[in-house]
Amino acid sequence: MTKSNASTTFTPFAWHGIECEVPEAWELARYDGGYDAGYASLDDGVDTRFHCRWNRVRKRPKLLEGALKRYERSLRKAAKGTFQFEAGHAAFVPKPQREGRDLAAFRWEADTAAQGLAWYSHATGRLVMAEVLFRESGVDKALARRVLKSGRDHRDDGRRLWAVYGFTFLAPDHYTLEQAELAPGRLRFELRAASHLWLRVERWAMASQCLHKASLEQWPRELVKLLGLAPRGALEQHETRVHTHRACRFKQTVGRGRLGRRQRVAGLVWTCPEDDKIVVVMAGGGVVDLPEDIAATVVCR
Amino acid sequence: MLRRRPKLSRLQILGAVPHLNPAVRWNELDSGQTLVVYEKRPFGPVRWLRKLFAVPEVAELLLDEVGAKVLGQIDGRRTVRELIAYVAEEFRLSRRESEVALLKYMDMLGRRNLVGFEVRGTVEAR
Repeated sequence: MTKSNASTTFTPFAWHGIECEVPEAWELARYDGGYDAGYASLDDGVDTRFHCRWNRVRKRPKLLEGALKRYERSLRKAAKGTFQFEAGHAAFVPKPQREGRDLAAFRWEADTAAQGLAWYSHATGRLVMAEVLFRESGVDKALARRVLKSGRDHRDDGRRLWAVYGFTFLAPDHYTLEQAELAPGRLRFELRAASHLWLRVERWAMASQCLHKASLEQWPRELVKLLGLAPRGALEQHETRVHTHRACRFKQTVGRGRLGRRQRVAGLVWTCPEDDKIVVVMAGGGVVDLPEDIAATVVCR
Repeated sequence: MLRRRPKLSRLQILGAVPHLNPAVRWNELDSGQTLVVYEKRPFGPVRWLRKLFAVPEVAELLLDEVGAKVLGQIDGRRTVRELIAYVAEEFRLSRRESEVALLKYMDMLGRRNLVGFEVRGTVEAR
């Protein structure tokens, strides 16, 4: 987390490779789609404050201009009163952050106002349109630029950041999100790289309550059960430490039916008493070191 | 009877003040849970069917420790927004997580007439 001049605390938000730093009070409210096309919006508890849409497109001349014109048309159609739209050069984005992408800034004003940034990434082939929304009277250009400037749609280290509701982890970028369950008290990400290569990252809140029902040592068995696959052989379980917290590392061979293909599941579960959270990382397909790699990237107190 | 629920804006929901129904018995148990005993108020044919099949007129609801803790914060002064902040702080949840959980909980209590809401400002009928 970083602090701006106006003492707003910023926190990362990352979804399907789209990353940016947003004020801590802004949290994911709606999302849809996947890596190739989708959207996400964040609110501050009352109003939508950040909106981002992306889709994979073929590079063609005047791609950004065309996209912005279509967006302007759709906004103008929906606007009930006065409407203003302006697009221009994104001069506020520093030169190193412009590399590998075509950029255009835009702003519009209707009953709400927005400052936005559209870009086409040459590396991912994705067209991204991100905007920070304000009530008509309260446009904070500095805040909008701070948020938009931090936007990017891929990393160069072969990993992809996932960051919502204060839960952050890095996963290899060939693992794409298959399903996310963002329920109160339980965040679960199911990622898959191939039919047998999967990764499950979970964060359980109210750890003290959960551990009251089942101790940390009982968690691996319960987690394997939740996979819905029949265990083959004994569960290997060892006590270890993650970020100085007590943890359980476990391995289990599982299979579907008598003749079903067997696979090796490796996992790591730990509890962070300061955050009152339990974090679970499980990987299938014999990638035994992956849970440790992911666990090292989970931000915890 | 079949009254339509008023349509509230998000700000009105967050600013609403929940009040416990004084006609309901709230029994705190040693386990930290709360046993809520309340009278069911069916209407129309359900009332007759209940007599016919001798369905009890009183219902019980057992709230777990978390539910009971939140209930203890309803004092007729705190708004829904303040309760959301309390849940986020007490259970170390994000604002959104606590909001979703609390609104669902309040909805459940409201549907059973265990809690009423004092809404400030104009309320538009649906």
